[in-house]
Amino acid sequence: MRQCGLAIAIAIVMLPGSVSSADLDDVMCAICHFEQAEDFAHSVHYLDGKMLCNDCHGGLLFEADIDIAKAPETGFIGRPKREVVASVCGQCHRGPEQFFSQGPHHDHNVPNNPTCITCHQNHRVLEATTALLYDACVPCHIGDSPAAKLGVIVQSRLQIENNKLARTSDLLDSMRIIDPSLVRFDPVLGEAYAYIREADEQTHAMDVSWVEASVNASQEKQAQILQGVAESKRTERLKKWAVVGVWIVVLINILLLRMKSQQL
Amino acid sequence: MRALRAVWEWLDQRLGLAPGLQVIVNNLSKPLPPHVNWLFTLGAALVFLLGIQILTGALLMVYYIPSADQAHASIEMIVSEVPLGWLIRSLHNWGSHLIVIITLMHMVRVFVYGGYKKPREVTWLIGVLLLGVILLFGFTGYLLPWDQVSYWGTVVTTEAPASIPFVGSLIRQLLIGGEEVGGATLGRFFVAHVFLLPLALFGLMGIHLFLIRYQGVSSLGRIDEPEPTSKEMRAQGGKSFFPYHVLKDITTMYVIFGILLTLSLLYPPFIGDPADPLSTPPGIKPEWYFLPAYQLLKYVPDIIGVQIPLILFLLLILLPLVIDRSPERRARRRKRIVGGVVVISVIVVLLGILGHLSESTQTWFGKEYYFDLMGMPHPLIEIK
Repeated sequence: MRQCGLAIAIAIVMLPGSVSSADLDDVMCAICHFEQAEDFAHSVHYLDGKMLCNDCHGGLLFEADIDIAKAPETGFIGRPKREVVASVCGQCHRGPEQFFSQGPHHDHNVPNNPTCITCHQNHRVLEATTALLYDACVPCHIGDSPAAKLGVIVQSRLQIENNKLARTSDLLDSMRIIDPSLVRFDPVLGEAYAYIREADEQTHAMDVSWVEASVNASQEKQAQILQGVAESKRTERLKKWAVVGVWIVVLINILLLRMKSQQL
Repeated sequence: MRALRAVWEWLDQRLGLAPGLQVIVNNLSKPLPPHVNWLFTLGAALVFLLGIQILTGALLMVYYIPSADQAHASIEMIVSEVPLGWLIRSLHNWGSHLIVIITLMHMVRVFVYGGYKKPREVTWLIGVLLLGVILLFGFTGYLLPWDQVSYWGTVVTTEAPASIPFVGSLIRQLLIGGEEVGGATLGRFFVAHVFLLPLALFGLMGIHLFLIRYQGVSSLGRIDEPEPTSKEMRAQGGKSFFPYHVLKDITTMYVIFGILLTLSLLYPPFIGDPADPLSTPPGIKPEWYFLPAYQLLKYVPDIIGVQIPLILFLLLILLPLVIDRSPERRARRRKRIVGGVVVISVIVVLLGILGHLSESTQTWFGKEYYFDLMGMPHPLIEIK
């Protein structure tokens, strides 16, 4: 029955007329749930202009009559239960949901096991950055616990790789002005970013080996790019010598023509 | 050599080519006036560059796909996968810039030496039409990479004709093949670039070259004086076109080739992001030779701004027919017309510079300035 309600909620969200990126001030829910609305106004979900209350809770946003707004046929589910939180978030964040379901936190029958909102918050949803990794672990895994250490390792690994990838991307951009053929590495850079995104998603499974594998795959792609850039730099030197060669040939030919002209 | 002669004799016996060849040899041996100098090699340099454009254009056409979906990817493929594809594209790109520069230099030379005057008005008219064809080559070729800069540059340029009264929007629709620049525009521009314009170019260039050889290079004397005969020219120190001037032509071609290769090797053209009709990048501008017209449109209403370049083009056509009918060829004896052309040229160059600077930030003498839409500088103050 609950799944049915969720399905209706999803269906309503997917409807062509479904309200999204509307102004929160016009939403009727905010009249009673003003604290939640205030938090939501600061969330990445609202600031990105993509979501409103009904995307997670169902119901009708602009209906003043509460009974109609919260009628079951509107897909209203109210506060999502612990066991469906992951699937509600997973409507959009499929990757994280998939990895979360394979990790140690997914069993909602275990008391104190976190859900998505434990780390990302519910209404004032935080942007998912690597900085969030350790901060999210320590409230439960205090001190030198293996889990907290794992958080630190994964966090620093991802931060370093993100920085490296940004530098590689900048280098490729700057070199492309000199050597347009480096455009062939654009798809490779895209793959490197995809691996890092995957590693970000894999953090939800709390398995460091998966993250490592993705980061290594990203590094391999970056190495390909850096090798290409190094080759391009060598080619640039060759091009300069080629220019010198061209002018030597041009000058020799001009001299020969001049001699021929004087012979006439 | 003997084999070559045998082939020639075989052909001559069947086609009677010898008298025709004799006419060509006699024509090439005719002396040129003694004032003919290195500036008179610019025309040959243009023919040489057009040859390079045809060759590199044909090679690019092997891989280029003129569709909105694949044009950009095919250019990326040319520069990254095709052996020396980047160099072929770079030669084609720099060749187009050099052609415009040398065409303008060639026209200035003809103007200064009064080479457009009677009886060579038709040669000048054809030359002006050739300038138009060359600019249209640049205009149509600019869109073909289908990246953001070329797409939006074309959007900006094709908006201008729409302001012509009554027929403006129709002209624009015919030009771009719809309401917006899109796949239809790319198809039209491609056909114009690789078929229609080359046809016009070959036709006009053929007539232009024929007239130059037929009428010879003009003297510096007045148009009401008889032009010196071959004998008089030889007596004044004039040398025959072949081989003396041809050797000069070849020397200039070598220098141009050196410049072209240097630019192509060291500064290959950049490939921007694929065209996105929904996202306008900032500071979009057309090619440098359209910048004066582009900047002019910012200062005057579109309806006037669109017509001024057309009027200038008309003035070029009317130059030998109506505007400059003095019998003098020497520039210092045509002070009024030379002064007028210098003033117009300075205005055009200034507009071009303002167009280049507009909507950009430049550092001059250690200070940063933002040049607004009109090209006016505003010092950037650092907020502490």
